[in-house]
Amino acid sequence: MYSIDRRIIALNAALFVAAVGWLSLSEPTYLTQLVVWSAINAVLAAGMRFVLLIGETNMACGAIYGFAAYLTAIAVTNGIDVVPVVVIASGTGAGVLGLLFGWVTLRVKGPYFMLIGFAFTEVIRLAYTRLDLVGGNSGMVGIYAPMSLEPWMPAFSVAVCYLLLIGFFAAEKSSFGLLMHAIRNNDKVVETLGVSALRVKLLCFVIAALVVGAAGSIHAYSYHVISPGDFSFLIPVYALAYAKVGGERHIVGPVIGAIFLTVISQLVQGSGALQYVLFGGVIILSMLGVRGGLIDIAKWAACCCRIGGRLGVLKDPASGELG
Amino acid sequence: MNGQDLHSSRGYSAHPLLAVSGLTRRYGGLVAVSNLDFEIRAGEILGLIGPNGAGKTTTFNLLSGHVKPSGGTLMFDGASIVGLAPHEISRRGLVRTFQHESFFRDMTVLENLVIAGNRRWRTQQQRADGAHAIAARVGLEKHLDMIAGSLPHGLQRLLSVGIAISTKPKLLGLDEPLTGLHTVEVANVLNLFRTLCREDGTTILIVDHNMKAMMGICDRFIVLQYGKMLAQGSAEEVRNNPEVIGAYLGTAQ
Repeated sequence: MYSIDRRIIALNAALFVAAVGWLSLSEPTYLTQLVVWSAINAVLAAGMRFVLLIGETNMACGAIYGFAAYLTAIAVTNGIDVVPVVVIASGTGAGVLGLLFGWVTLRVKGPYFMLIGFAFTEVIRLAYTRLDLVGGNSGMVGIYAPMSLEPWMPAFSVAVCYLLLIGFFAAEKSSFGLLMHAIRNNDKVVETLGVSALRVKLLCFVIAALVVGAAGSIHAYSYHVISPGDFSFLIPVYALAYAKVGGERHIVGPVIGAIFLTVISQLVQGSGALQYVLFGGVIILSMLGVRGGLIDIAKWAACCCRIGGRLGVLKDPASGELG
Repeated sequence: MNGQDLHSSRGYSAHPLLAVSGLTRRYGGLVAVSNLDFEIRAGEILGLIGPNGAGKTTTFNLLSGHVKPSGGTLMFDGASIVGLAPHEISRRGLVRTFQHESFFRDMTVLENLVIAGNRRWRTQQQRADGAHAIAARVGLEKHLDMIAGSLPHGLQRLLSVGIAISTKPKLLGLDEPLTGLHTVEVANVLNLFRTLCREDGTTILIVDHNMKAMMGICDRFIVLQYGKMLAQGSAEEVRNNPEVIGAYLGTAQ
């Protein structure tokens, strides 16, 4: 029931090697940067979806993402230049923040939890503007990996993001993932089985915080400059848009959504204020045109090619149907 | 035959598995359950009955920890369970079903039962085997791959019971398990309850409005009205109690 198809493992291994290999051999260009941003956004969207699996919308992910980015900036500007250590430490810091936030707030559900998360993201953002330690409104600059590693950073960033996505997938496929689905369905019944729904929700939230935190750290390395405005409520709003546009029934959905909307946002970026209208229009059209998300197009293509049955990667974990 | 004679003739223990004393729940000025005293003996099937609004479901929620009592004591298997969270009470062996959906709607029958056995069985193989065994027990072995929400109502009720018994409870609380079932389904479910009680030794507490079925299966009854104990005893005693008749049918002015 929980075993992962070997073909999925092989497909992912091939994609991983291809992506990381290409980035390792390429000079850093706008295209490689776009791939990195897409990968970061994919992790952010998958983090949003991971919490959606327990039926909650995590609007606090903006605060958690930003917190890890600031931890990275503080570490790097203070001379800590071991990139993997900084990424792991920043992710862990974000996980601790997630633990504290989740312990207090996961006792409420639905719109209440969502609004608290929204407020938390904004409060943390405002706190950065008041703190001279993190540069106030100006933010922090000079977040670079060591010179010798800089050419490898796109490959490293995408490799980390890919592994984080695999981690989400594995967690969802485990018996813990089944429990998360059960909580989304009926948390009262889960409690009657001797399982603390609060603890499962908390663990889910902390896992998402750790992963989103690691993505936040990579964000800081990728942009080299961060400021409070980068971590507003728009972060969780975009993450939700990526997950919904791509389709939230399978982890591939948010990845597709993140890549699609990241590319679209770059295409409309030169349009001034109109860019938000164009971006919003694309989201509305996607949602209306493909209700189950863009992943439905992949499903349709798979069915057309008569490989639907073999494309296990698109199967919905709950129903077993193609995503 | 009084309650004491009855339980000794059926062979269940005089030892109280659950002892409720002075149980009270207030919502502001409204007293939903007032100073309730009763016991559930190990191995019996106890019926909790009463008109709508009598406080049956509130009593159920108090026992399972979903509602905290305003006063009174609850001793389960020799230890107090007052103030414990629902999952802690469930771990001690007091497991309940709910009046409405008591399963995971978007998941298959097999997944429902695998999750239910999550704590009881450690390995994936044990969980799968256990789920198949429970499915066979409640008659769902042909529906394992169906999504629970798409099952007919009667099978959903069976699934709810299957989920609850997967935890191997000492006391199984069933909140209106017969609602919406047709005659044949009721007979099947009652047979299942009898088997659980007589063969597995599971103590059962049932709340339901199907009086004919309840009279046929319960060893003893507790009758509630306005949150207070109106009567208790065997089916015969309760059926002939003028206060109970008055509560259900009203009294002549």
